[in-house]
Amino acid sequence: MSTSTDNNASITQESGPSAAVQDIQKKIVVRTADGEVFNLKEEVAMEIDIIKTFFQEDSISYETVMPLPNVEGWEMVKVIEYCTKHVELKHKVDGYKERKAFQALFVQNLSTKSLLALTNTANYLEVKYLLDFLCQAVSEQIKNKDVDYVRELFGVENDFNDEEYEQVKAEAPWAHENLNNDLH
Amino acid sequence: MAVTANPKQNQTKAAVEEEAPLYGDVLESVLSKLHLIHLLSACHVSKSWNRAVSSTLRFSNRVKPWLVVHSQTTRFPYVVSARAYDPASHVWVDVDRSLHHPPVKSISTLRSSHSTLLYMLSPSKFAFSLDALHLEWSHANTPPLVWRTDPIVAVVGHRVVVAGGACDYEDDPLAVEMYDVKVGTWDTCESMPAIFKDSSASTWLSVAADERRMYVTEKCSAVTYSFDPESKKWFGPYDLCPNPTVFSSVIGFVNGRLVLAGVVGEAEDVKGVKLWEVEVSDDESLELKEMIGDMPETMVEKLKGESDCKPSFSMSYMGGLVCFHNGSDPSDLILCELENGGCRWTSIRNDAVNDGTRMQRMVVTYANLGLPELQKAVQVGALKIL
Repeated sequence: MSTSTDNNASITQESGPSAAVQDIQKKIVVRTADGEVFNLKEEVAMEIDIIKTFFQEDSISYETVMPLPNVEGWEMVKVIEYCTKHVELKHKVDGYKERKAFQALFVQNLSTKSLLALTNTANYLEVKYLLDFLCQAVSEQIKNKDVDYVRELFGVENDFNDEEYEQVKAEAPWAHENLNNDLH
Repeated sequence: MAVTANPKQNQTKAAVEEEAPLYGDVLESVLSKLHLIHLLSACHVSKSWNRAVSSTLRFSNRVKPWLVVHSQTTRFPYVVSARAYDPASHVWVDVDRSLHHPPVKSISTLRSSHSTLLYMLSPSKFAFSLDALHLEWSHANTPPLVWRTDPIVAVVGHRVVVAGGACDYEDDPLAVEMYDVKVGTWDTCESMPAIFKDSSASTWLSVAADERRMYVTEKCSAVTYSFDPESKKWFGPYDLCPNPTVFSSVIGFVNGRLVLAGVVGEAEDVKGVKLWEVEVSDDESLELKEMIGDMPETMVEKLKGESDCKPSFSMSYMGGLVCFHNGSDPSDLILCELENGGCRWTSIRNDAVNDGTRMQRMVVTYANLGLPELQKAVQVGALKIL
């Protein structure tokens, strides 16, 4: 079932707490829509509610590979990256600046389309703080933009009929002017 | 296996996103991050976005009354400028009234007796404004009969009550008149109670009004009277002084209840500001009830400010929000939000105070700005969204 190589060794539970166990991190395995397989550290995997529910509440064995048909490989990479950082910063007393710097880099090279895809994925996977951060990033793209720009950026069709649209436009003509897209 | 339902299960995820990348809960979450003023564009994108905007505004803490700080130059032509603060998004915005409906030119000082009213009074003119951002001004057909320099003015229902503040040579310094906005005429009413003889100007009195009555409190004694425009009569006195440590009191309405704010200590040494609830009985009598708020010490210090002048505290209010400012040093505004029986205090720097406006006359009002009012204000160019 699973194609991962170190599956068996990592799932077996060693008896007793202590340093010996630290070497063998419990791993959880997931497979994304494009067939890619990921080994997640347990503590990172548990940040993702849909995975947590699957394994913990339904008491499924960690040997099972959880399928994630709605997630692409590249998205999983990003989610793991964010959750790993989040777990790391949990133990830090003053991680504010570091978090901010990380967040800026995280979205830096994402196209709007990718940002939206990732936002929907965070929603599906149920990672609340990641979803929150991504929604904020998306909202930054909407701020101060006129209606046409927003429609094009998000691929939304104007479904007001002519009459409705004229009425809507009359109420706020300024929103339909071509604002300079660089104006923030 | 737990899989979240995908509305278009026969399509690949990529195909779904091609059609509508942002929708439902996620769209609402995104919109909820935006300031009210940035939602104006969003609600015109499409029907579903329009619905999403309405939905995200349904949470009551998104839309709060805005504070508006008006500054008036002390020299001709007495230009008024204003800046508005949205407590929900912590954003200050310029209110530009110069593009249309210029305010009444050089009529006189801009004043406000209670949080939704702005007025200007001269011997020959009386103008007042009640809309949220005070873009619309109404003029009384004729000024009041009695010449007044500093009366108390309040809007009760469809009437504007003007009381006291009469010039020395007038027969009755306590004269009260009422302007009926619907009919456009003035009516003379029972004069103010004699107790206000030496204190009938707005400097000494605090005023609050609801749809039915006007309440007047003498700041130094907390003695209060109510005025009923229907019968044109005064009722009282009601002694609302909480205890001897309170040297000055102002009144207002918070969440529909009458509230008294008492300043503790003395003018040269203000120690604190506390809030008490005032009960209005069925027979319209007033009684001071329990204390409901106590301003934190650090904020009292900010409110006092650094001016050498004696403090002159004002309280503006709307819904569950209250704003305190000191006329002698309005650099800091102390806000209080009353909810669930408790008080949440915050202080903000008064963004309308700068080197240009520091010596100007400042008046604070509250504005109920929902999306329609905001839209109108932006449409007429009064608010800039950047």
